[in-house]
Amino acid sequence: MARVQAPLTRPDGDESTATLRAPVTLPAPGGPRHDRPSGPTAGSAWLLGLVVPAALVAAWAVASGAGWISPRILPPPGEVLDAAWRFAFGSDTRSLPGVVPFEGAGGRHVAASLRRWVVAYLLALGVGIPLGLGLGLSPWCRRLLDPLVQALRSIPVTAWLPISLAWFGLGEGSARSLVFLGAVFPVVVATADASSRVPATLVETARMLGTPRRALARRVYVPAALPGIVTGMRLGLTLGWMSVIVGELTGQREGVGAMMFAARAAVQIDQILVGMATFAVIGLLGDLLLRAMTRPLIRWSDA
Amino acid sequence: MTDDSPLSRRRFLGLAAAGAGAIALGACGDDEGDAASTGTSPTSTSSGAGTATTGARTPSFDGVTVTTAVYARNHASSPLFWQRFAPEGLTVEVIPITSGTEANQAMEAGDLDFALMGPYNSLIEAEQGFGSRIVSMLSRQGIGLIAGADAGISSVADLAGKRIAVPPPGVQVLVLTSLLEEVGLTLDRDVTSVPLGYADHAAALERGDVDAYMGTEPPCTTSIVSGAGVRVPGVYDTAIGDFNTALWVRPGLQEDGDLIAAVVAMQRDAAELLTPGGRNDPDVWRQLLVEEFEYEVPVYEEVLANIGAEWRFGDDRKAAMEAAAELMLRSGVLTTEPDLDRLYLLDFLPEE
Amino acid sequence: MSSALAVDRLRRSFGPVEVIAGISLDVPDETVVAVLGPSGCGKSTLLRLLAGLDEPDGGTILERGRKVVGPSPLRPMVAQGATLFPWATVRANLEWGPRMLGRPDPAAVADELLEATGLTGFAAALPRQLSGGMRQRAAIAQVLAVQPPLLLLDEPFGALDAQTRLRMHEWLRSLLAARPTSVLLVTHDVDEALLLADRLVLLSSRPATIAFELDVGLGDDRGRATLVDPRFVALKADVLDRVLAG
Repeated sequence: MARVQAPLTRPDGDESTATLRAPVTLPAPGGPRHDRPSGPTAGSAWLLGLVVPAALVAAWAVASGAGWISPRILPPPGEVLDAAWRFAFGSDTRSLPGVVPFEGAGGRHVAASLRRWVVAYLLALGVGIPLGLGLGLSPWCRRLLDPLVQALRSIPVTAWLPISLAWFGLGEGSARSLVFLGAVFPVVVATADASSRVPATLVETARMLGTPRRALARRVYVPAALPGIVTGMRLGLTLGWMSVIVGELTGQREGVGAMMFAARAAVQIDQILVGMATFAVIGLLGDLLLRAMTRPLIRWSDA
Repeated sequence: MTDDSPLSRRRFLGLAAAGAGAIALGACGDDEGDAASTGTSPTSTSSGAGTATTGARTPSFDGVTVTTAVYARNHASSPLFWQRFAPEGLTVEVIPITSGTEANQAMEAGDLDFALMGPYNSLIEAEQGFGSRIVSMLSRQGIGLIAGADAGISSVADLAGKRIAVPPPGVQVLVLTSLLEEVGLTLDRDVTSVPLGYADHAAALERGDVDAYMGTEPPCTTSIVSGAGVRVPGVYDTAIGDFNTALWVRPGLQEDGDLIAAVVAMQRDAAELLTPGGRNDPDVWRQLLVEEFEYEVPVYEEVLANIGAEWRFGDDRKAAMEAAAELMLRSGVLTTEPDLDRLYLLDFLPEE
Repeated sequence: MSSALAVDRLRRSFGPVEVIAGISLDVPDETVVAVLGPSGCGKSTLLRLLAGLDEPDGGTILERGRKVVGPSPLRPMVAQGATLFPWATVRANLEWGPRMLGRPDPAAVADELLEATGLTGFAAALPRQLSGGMRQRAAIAQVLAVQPPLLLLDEPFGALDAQTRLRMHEWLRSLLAARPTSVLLVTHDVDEALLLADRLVLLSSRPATIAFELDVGLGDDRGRATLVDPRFVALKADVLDRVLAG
């Protein structure tokens, strides 16, 4: 263990006082370290992350204003912002069923995409974690399934689209199967890897402490592999979200990707950019949420 | 989690659990169930040219749903109006698609009951044993040969030595091949073709990546309105005419004369609403293109001259299909002469 | 006196490499036996066999007359390095065994051991927040929580600095004094062996056989002062000679 600033860590010269009822405060992760260049303080760090995007938007505004970029290739930021506003808060006055709406339809599109994402992602976890544990813990299972998993995971989600449409038809089944395929492999691979690396001494200790063999997966392997599993979960979440747009090539009227394809057909570039920004923001928020939810589970492994 | 069609979920879980199992569950209804509630009430059936042609018997469509497809925000969108003219009890569900192949597959699988298709895709699929059949026309025009404003192209002959963006095979490619043939040019010998999807044509021309493109609406009009391009005339003067898309019915429904007659009548009513007597009604198109699809007003005003809804499928259309087949045979796309009569199921077309 | 563990002509090879070539030894009840030997001689292999984590090619291991099959709470081993569950608090680590075995009141067992190991203030801490010495004490307390008749220790203090190690030796002596537990300790540290063990077994280099056995006989009151006791110094010189002679 590195000699860090952990208030609990006392040199062993203090053994006699080690019994002191020290208030137990856990060291904050990401604190200053001696062996790294000092970074910005936590308060200003997120602001710093906005500098480059802000500069890019400013350059975009200047280039558009000066007429260096054709609005058919990249509309000015004000137009995109206006489209974003209409997408989120405009009034949806459409009356024809079957039209893929834009104005005022942000909530509906986002809700539809989120639903696809969450449902398929939960299924990916439900399949991916047990399968990964099987691959990681059972040599038999690994020999049987690992070559297949390794081969399938190299297939891009887009390549699954035709076969998915043939199997599931136009509609939600195809959409979810594609998002599932995007999300499941990182989860499987990370879970298999992490569970196969659980130190043997931990398992042996658990056995010597009377842990029943059938409880080892739940009591030892899963908790010990959790940091790796969570990494796979984060990757799967992001890749699943990236697959939502492919999933919305399946005859969907609702969904951020469905809106983008409709806008693309009619050369409505401002709407496409709004869709991209929506993907970026929701993907970021989803990852932040997953990190916040999983952090308490893996705090023990913080470096 | 709210749901959605139990059918598609069942299919989905089938795969997740077993791998490939539940494929052939067939049937329609993969949808969110909101279509039924949004349709205009069936009382509007009274408009148009009267009752269906199936005789005195009034068929019942209680609880029947027909599924069809359109390209999102495309001019060939008359099915969006079907519900207004639907007989009582019939629900129309319109699904946005992005390619003709998708429509074919979905019709073969039974996910779509009716779909739109141009001559090229239909002939290719027919040769491969596709069992769907034409029941009426759906749209005309809607294509364009657009040259860069300063590319020095004012006629097809000027394309010699130029780069032209060509979409995936479809009616545009047939028309372009015919046009070039007429002036003695051959694609990829005298003209360089750049394969590019419809949606990317306008940007490619704007950037100067190509000198011209053979595209669809609305990208064509977008280029005109922005000043980046000009129309090269003559695209409707080939033997294909202004054939754009026809309406097809999937194999399993071809015995259901009542349903086909009802759908063809809805298409007739929708086409007559948009294009009464063969002339576009600007107000109805405005509602569709500006209010529903959010086209910019100048694009709407300009595009109106190059689109049209259609339902009649007369000898002129059959001649166009023959011309398409002949061209495709000659260029080796088709290897056997298609039996065109087998493709037509036109008994349900209403009288004029 | 009965034997907590009786080992008879134990043999183990890995492929062509013979690691243990016929070792017989006895761990009497409530006795600390130290197995001393050059590094790589097979000490850890021997301990894994005794713990039931590995199977011998020949010979027998009897635990109170019963053949050893698999790992058991009756003779847990503390391996080199920390064997605490890193995601569990110190308290949860200590309660692990009693809980798994369905013993009554695991919390009370943990309380008593936290007190005995001086870790009461760190009950809610995670293993990584402890110093090396604290972690090692917690790891020993974790297995003592199942009240094993025999404890197997593999270089338990090898990673600690000399001063801390000495403090650990004193602590372990006092801890064991209050418990009816036999210990088999594997070490390469002669001081450690002489401070902790009642009996000392010296292994030859690989393949390991017993080169020499010795009753330490330094009494029960051993600690830092023992290090300068002339009897200790003489004994250490003798043992070192034998160790270095191989």
